[in-house]
Amino acid sequence: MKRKALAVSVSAGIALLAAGGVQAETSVSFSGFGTLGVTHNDNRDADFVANRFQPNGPGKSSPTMFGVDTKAGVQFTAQIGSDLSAVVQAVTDHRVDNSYAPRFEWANLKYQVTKDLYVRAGRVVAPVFMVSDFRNVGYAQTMVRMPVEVYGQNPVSYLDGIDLGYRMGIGDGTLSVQATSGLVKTLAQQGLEVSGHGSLLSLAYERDASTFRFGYFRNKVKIEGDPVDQFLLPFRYASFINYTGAVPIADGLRSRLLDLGYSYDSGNWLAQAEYIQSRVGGIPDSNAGYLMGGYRVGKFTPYLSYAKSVSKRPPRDQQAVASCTNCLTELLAYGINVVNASSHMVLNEQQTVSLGVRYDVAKNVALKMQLDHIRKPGSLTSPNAGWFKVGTPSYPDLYPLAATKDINANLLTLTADFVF
Amino acid sequence: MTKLRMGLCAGLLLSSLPALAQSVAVIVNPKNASAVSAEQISNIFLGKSNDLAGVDLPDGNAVREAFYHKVTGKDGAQLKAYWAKLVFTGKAQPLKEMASDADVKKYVASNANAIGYIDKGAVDGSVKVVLTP
Repeated sequence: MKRKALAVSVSAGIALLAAGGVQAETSVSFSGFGTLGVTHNDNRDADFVANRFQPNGPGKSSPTMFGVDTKAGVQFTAQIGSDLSAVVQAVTDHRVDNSYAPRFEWANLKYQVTKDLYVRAGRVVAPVFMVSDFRNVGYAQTMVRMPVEVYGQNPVSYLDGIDLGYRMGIGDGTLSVQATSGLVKTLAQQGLEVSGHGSLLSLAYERDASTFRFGYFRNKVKIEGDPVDQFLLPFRYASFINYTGAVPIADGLRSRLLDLGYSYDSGNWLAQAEYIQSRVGGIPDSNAGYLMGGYRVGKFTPYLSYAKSVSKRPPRDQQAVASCTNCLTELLAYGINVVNASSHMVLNEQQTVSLGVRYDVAKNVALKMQLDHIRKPGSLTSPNAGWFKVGTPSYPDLYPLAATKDINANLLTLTADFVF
Repeated sequence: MTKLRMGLCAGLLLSSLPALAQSVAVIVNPKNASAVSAEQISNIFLGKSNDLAGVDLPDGNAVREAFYHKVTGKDGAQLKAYWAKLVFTGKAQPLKEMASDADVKKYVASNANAIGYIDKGAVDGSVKVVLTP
C-alpha cells in the first residue's frame, strides 16, 4: 500500500523541476491484495458460486470448498512525471476452466489533463456496479462478498478501451463523472466466448458520509463456442429440446443494466444499498437489490444484509417456445442463456439473509465470518435457477434437480483478507 | 455479553484518548496565501482533492492518528480499508510519507503547494499554520 522506496528520481525530472513546484519524478509502486476463504454449504442440491465464472462450488460438488472467495492480486503503478501514470493489475481466482490462472484485470495509461479531468486508455475497469472498482479487494469491503443476487447479473469487469473521468464540486459535495467505452472479450464458460462492445456512464456524488451512485451500462455482444458443446448443450436444458438444430452462434445480443446505489460511512455506523434493473434480450427481465448495515465496535464490525432478486417472465415466451413464431428472438435467447448457464424460461429468483462479523485483527489483515441463509423457490412448472450453478458442461445433471425444487441453503464462510 | 460490550467500549475509549490529547497543527508553505478550510484539508488527505500535495507521517505515529481522527473522523482500520479502495481503483495514490515532524516541516517549507501536519510544538517560522484541529 505504501509508496515503496523504489522511487527513482530521474535526473531529467530534477532538471525539469519547476521553481517552487512539486518535484517531477518517476516512481514505481507495487501493492497487492488477497483473500483466503473457505465455504461450507449444508445443502447438496446445487453448487453455490460467487459469480458465473466459477465452474463449481460448495454444495453438490463437495460440501466444503475454498474456491468461492479465495483470490489474489498484484498491482504495479508507475508515476511518470506529474501527469502521466501507468497501472497493471493481475488477478488470480477460481476461473471458468477450474484453474487459478492469472489474468490482467487492468493495464492502462492515465493522463491527468487537468486537476479534475483524466483520460485512461487500455484495459480499464468497467464500473457496472457500485463496488466494481474494488470488487476483488476483500479487505476494502465489509462483507465477505458482494451479494450474488446483484453482482451475479453481469459478468463484465473490464473493457479494452477508453475512460474519461471528471470531478467537480457541487454544493458541499463532489460529483464524479466517468464515461467508459470499449471492447468486451471474455470466456463466459468453458468453450464459450463472449465478445462485443460496451459503454458505461457512472455518476457518484459524495457529500459528508454519504455517496449516491448512478450507473448505466449497455452492451452488444456475440457468443461463439465449440460446435460440439453447442450441439450437446440443448439436451441438458429441458426447454431447449426444440432447438437441437440451432445455429451455434448468437450475434447482436443487447443488454443494459441500470444501477442505483447509496453508501454511508460515518464513525461507527456504515450502510450500503444497491438496486439494479437488468435487461437482456430474450431472457426474463431481472430486478435485484440489497441492503446492508453494520456497526463498528472497536476492531469488530458486525453486519447484517438482505438481498433479493426477482425475474419477470415475458408472457409471450410461453407460446414462443412451442410455435417459434419469432425464431430470431428465440435463437438470440438461446445464445445468452448458454452464457447465463441457466435455461431460457428459467428464472433467477432468490433471497439471502446474511449475518457476519469483520475483525480487523492486525494492520492490513481482516478476518471475517459470515452466515448466509439462501432461499430459492422452484417447481417443475416454474423452474428457477436462482444464482446457483446449474447445468454446466462439467455438471450437466444439476439443472433439472436444482431448478425445479425449493432450495434452502445455509452457508458458513471464513475468510482472511489482506493488503500490502 | 454485556460485560464483553463494556470491555470493548472501554477499550475503544482508552485507545482514542491519546489521539484526542495530542495537539496538531496543519501547515502550508508561507508563500501559500490562499485560505484552506478544514473540509478542503479533509478532502486532500482522503485523496478526494489535488488542490495541494499532502504529506503524511508514518503509520502508527500519534500525531498522524490524532490528525486523521480530528480532521477526517476516520480511524486506523477504517482508514486502511478506505485507502485500499482508492489505491486499488487507481483513483488515488497514497500520499508521500515523511519520517518525522522535522522532515514534514522541511518538505512543506521548500514546496509551494505542499500541506502537512505536525505536532503543534514543532511549528516554527519556516511554515504557516492554517488549522489547529
